[in-house]
Amino acid sequence: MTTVATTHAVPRVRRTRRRLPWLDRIAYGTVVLLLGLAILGPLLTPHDPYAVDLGQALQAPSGGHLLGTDGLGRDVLSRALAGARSSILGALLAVAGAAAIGILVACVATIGGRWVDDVVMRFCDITLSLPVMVMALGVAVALGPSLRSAVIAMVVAWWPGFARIARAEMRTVITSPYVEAARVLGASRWRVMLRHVLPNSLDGVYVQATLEIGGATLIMAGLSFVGAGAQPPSAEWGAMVETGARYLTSAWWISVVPGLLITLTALAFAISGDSLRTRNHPDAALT
Amino acid sequence: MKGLDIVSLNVEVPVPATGEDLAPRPLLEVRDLTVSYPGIGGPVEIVSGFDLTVARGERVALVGESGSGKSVTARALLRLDHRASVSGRVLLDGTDLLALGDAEMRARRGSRIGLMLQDPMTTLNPVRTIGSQVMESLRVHGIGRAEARRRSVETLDKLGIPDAARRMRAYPHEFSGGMRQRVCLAMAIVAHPDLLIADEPTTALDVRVQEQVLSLIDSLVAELGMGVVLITHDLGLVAGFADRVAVMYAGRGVETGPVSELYRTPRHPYTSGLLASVPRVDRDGALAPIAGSPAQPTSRPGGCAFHPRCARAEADCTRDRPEVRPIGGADVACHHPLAMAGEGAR
Amino acid sequence: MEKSLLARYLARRLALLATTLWGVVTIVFLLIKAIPGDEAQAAAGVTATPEQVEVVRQRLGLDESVLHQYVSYLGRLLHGDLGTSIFTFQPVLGDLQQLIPYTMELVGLAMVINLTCGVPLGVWAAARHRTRTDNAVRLTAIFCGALPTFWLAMIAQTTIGRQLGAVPISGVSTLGVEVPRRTGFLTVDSLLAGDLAAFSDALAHLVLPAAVLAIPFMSFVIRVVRGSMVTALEADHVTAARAKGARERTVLLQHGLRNSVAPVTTLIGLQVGWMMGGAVMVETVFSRPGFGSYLTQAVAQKDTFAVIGMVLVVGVIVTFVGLVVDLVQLAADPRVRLLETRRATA
Repeated sequence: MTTVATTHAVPRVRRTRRRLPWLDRIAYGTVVLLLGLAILGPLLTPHDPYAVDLGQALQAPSGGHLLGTDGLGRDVLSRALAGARSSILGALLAVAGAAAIGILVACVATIGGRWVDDVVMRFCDITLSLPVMVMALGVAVALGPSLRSAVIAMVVAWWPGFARIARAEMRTVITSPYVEAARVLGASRWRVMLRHVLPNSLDGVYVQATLEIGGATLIMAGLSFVGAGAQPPSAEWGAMVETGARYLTSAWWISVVPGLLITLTALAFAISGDSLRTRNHPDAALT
Repeated sequence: MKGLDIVSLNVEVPVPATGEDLAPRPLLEVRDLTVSYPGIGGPVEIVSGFDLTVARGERVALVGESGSGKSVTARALLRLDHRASVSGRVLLDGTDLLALGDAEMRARRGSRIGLMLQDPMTTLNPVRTIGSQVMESLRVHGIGRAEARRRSVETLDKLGIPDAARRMRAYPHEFSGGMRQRVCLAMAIVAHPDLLIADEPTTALDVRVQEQVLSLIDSLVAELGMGVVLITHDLGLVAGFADRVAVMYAGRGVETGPVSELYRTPRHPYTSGLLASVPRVDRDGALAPIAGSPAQPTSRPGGCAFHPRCARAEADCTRDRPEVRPIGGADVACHHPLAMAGEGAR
Repeated sequence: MEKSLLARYLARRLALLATTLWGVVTIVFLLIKAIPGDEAQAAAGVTATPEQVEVVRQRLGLDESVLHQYVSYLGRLLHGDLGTSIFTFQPVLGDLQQLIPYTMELVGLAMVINLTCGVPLGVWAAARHRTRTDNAVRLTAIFCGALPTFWLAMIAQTTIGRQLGAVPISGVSTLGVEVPRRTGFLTVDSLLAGDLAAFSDALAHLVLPAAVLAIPFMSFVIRVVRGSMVTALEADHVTAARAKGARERTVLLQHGLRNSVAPVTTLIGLQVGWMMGGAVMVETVFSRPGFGSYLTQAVAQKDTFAVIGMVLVVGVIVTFVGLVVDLVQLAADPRVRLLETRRATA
């Protein structure tokens, strides 16, 4: 036998090229813009988003009110800008909370041994099988409907997903040579976990988090829409869509503007997350 | 055919329509096969001007390192990869396969040319039964279910699958590696093709099973009168099996000749190097691997592609591409071939 | 799989079902315990008098230990007591039995739309991997997944229903159209009654909400079908199938889509639950009676136990769907069978 390894020499040059790079760039840009809005939005409002003026009710978009007014005469643009904070930061907070708890649980499962691991992961599976929307409704109602409850509800419903991903990565990392080396050198289990395993297991969690922020925005808005999230008169995109529902034929802008913003946010985070994932694992794109 | 000047053949005129020519028409005649794939900086040529002839009942080994283009050649003969652009001529019984329409080409795959792949683990679809996959070779050519089943069982039986009729319902994972490769062989030959292309059919198997599979192919050749192209990187395997050997390097045929002659007096330095790196029971001494690494398709050296690794290389080797010319009983593409028996082996 | 192994698998799977149900119940119980403030007050409703609250406290055994409460909660559930709605003053289970068929009809049709659109799009994208078509489908998938269901429902209701007048915009049937209730499924009942007018009326009320509900879920179906098919189509068995002379369509379906059955089944199982979540919004917008609009009402009335009973019911439904999914996979994919056989014998 010759010493040569055999593989089919079909060139794979074309396969590694990232598809539609311009779209990724637009998505990243939009994410930055949306985060800026979430922070600065309430400061940029041309009118008081809560100022009721029935004389100005249901005005079509014009110079005075760029995106028109709602049924109570409130400026839609101002409310949309003010709402960016609760909608986007709410979703960010929910995902961050879920990711943090998920990582913590994954740590416990990983170093707790087989029995702990089995129980914890089974619990995750069960929670995951419950639809987030229904679960979150349950929690939100139990805590009394508010934006804060909606965020907590989503953390409760969502952490197991992150726990699964983090645990899967930790299992891979923990068998790697450098972790082995640290263990041989006598480092304690927690030390190995915190210093070596954890920092090297988070890539997947970050990517997943980015992907989930879009979904979280949708669920947050949905919870507000059915009355389990932000309560009137607070400016939140889902709640704004709801208040505009009855004017959809006469004053479409009240619902369409926040609806488009929700879609844009979900879209930007979904594409960015997908792009990040493709960079991490070129083969896993959109699967 | 092997004595013919291949360069002049390239300018040749239409192939005779009937069998009235004097020399028996070869089963497969590949002339000036060139295959390229799209790459970042334009098309990359994987196979450049490759020639090959296979007669009925003849076993030809196509030998080369990985990246030499042998597997690409196999797929190009069947026009399997639509991304590849293929030029030259591939005459099967006088019909140019490269000039056929898609439907005509499809009608010949499987029924006229069978292909056997390297890894029986992945060549069989894990979610379909063995039977359905062997039968598929017949069913796609319009043969009825009952007839296809009968012939499939018969073929599996002949290939030594015990209890073939019952095992038709089994799934690939229920078979051992050797048995799986027999199933792959069955898929390739159940429709009784005239030509079998076997791409590294034994690489994934252990040595004892390798021999079983090869001897199965051997007996099929004898029984069905098939031509066989055996693609391998393992010159040791070729000795007992092939009638003729074609050695490929960097997408070109560098030496083609009868197996005994090529073993005894390799003419091309590359062939000689390959032989020196094969462990043999009839000779002592250390193995001598070829220095350097194979040329990559994207950066093949000019002139003779082998020259950076060749001890005999001179100025002309870096400059001019050597044409194929007959030396002794072989066709060799080298400016400075090894001259005599004895001298070439070491 | 052998009979004894199958029996062992089923036993294991049913044990898993039992633990899962127990887990769901426990999670829901924890949810109730997490309610801040007086649980009896929550159960009795905000308008209840202190005397009524005391009665509820007695009945629910809230003055006992938490463990005792947990056990008696399990006991009540085993008797089908999901609690009483403070809004309808009916047992939650009774309300649900009336409403669940409407939701099932909606989710069922949405699933049909979801699969009949999503699967072909996924197949198409995989067949045209890395082309404009692929990119277009990929973007469509992402876009579908980014649409807020409730907003889409509103827009569709206004444009397609109200302005074009193509379909009814609310409810499950036109006033006056009635069929004898047998299964609770309007479409089924109208067919059972032989009333085609009522059937088409029910279908007209169903189609737009179902389409709206389906769109975000198509996103996942397209991704999963595309992804698993792209993987399958890169495998050697696809090359082998082409080499047998199979048509591209056969290759795509028999060697690509066939291999996606298991992952798609898993996805369908998950989506049944998620769709019930989506139905909450769709039913609210289209004023359809059902599980979802009941849930929204319960949320609006702060009808805590009705909501929590609902979470439990969805959990139970999802758990049983999971069992069905696993059995379907066992039947459809030999790889799953192999895995389970190994587990059963381990």
